[in-house]
Amino acid sequence: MGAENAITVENLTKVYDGFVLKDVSFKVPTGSIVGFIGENGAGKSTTIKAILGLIPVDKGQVEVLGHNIFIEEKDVTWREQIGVVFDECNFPLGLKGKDVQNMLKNIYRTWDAKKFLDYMDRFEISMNKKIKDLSKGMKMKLSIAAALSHGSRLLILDEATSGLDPVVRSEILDIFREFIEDEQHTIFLSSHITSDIEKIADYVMLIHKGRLLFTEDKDELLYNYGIIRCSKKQAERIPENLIVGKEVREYETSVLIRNKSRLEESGFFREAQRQEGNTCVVDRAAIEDMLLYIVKSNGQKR
Amino acid sequence: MKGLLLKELYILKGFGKQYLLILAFLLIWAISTKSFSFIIIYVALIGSQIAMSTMAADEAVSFSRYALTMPIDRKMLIKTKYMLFLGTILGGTVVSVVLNLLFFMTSFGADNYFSWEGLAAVVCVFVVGNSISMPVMFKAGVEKARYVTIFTMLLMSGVFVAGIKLGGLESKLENYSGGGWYLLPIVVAVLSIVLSYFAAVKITKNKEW
Repeated sequence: MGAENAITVENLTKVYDGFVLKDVSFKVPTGSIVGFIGENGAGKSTTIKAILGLIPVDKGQVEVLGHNIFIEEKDVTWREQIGVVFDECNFPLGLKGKDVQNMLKNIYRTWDAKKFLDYMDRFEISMNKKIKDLSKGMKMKLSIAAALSHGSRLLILDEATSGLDPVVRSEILDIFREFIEDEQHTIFLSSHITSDIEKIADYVMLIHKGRLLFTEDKDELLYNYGIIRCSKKQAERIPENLIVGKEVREYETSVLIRNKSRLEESGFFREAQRQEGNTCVVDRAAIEDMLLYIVKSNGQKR
Repeated sequence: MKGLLLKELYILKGFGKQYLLILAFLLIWAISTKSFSFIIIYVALIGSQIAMSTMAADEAVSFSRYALTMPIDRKMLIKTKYMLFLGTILGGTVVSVVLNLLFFMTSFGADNYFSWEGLAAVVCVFVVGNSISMPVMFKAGVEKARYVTIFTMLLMSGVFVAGIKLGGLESKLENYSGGGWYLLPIVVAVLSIVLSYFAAVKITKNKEW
């Protein structure tokens, strides 16, 4: 029950015409929230589909809750422990909340009708309303209610909060925080809304053009990364190995660096001040900045 | 499977009114023309198309992809559609028979012609047509599958008509005294649906859901 990693991915490779998901490897520790970020088309959904065994892959291994996902098992009841929410509500639009309940209680042995009703009450979704008559936010809440009502240990969410307003997103993030209070529960959440990831994730994974660029502890990431705003001449003195991305403008150059302390140790700030006065500023780098700088720099300089 | 079948029934419930309206239209048409045998074809056709209609509703929301994240395997997902197909074509056939019997017993059906052989042949055409298109439906989607169904049925009808015109099939059938030849289409229908299921399972093995 208490495996160290809820998800283990090794050398996952999937080749499409015009896109390659290349040697992606990572682990999602049990009891954590891992945020998976990247721009549209970076490979987030392909990775998630591969994790769920929804696409054949060219190479690699995926283990979810101790099960090799590419081996077709006769007994798939272990999947009761996974709750999945995609970027759209996947229940046929003519169904009502009560129909979803009846359907799922006959699919999941672990279905908790009371829990589902509680969520529906909390989200103020009528059990008698057809799904097609619900707003996008309500539909997503219905999907989340379903994912949380069958004893899931692992939630896999693919852009589940995209297209929702900040109030609904905040409400959903609260639900995820409640879910993770149990240390055996894990969330793997992909999103291009980096502020959501910043709010709840323990670890952040960044994928760009089919390659996983990093998997890091979110707090360390926010502590270590920084944006140096300085002149072009000063920027040239930043050690190359610390630069993640750079944006050069006429009057200011911004450089995303991966380790503020090491930059300080290198004597960069002293030298910059000596040469041009106190014109160098270090700003906090948000995860969104990291994504933007990396995408703009095309992921070449890390 | 029960959960998936329930889902199919809930979707069907949504289509229910449309089907009843079509049936009402057919009945009015049949009564006014005093010709009921064509109802066999229409009702069986509707029955045969229900699985595709529910699949279209599934496709609109990528339900199959979602279902495969549940404790449901690919075979179960496919089997459920085949069960629905068999159930609805059987249901359509029973409705056809009942309606024809009712008309036959009333003055409306004075000119009516009903034969078990004809019924078996019609149902066989639809079952074989759908047996070919259902694996396509799972692999490439409902839209392509509908074209395949139409094409297959046209082809089968063409072969049948050619058999009558060129091969003297009609006279051979009329002169055949062995009786019970309707068993042949039933055997063909059963065989085709079994083969179709296995084909659907096989060709979806590497499908991207």
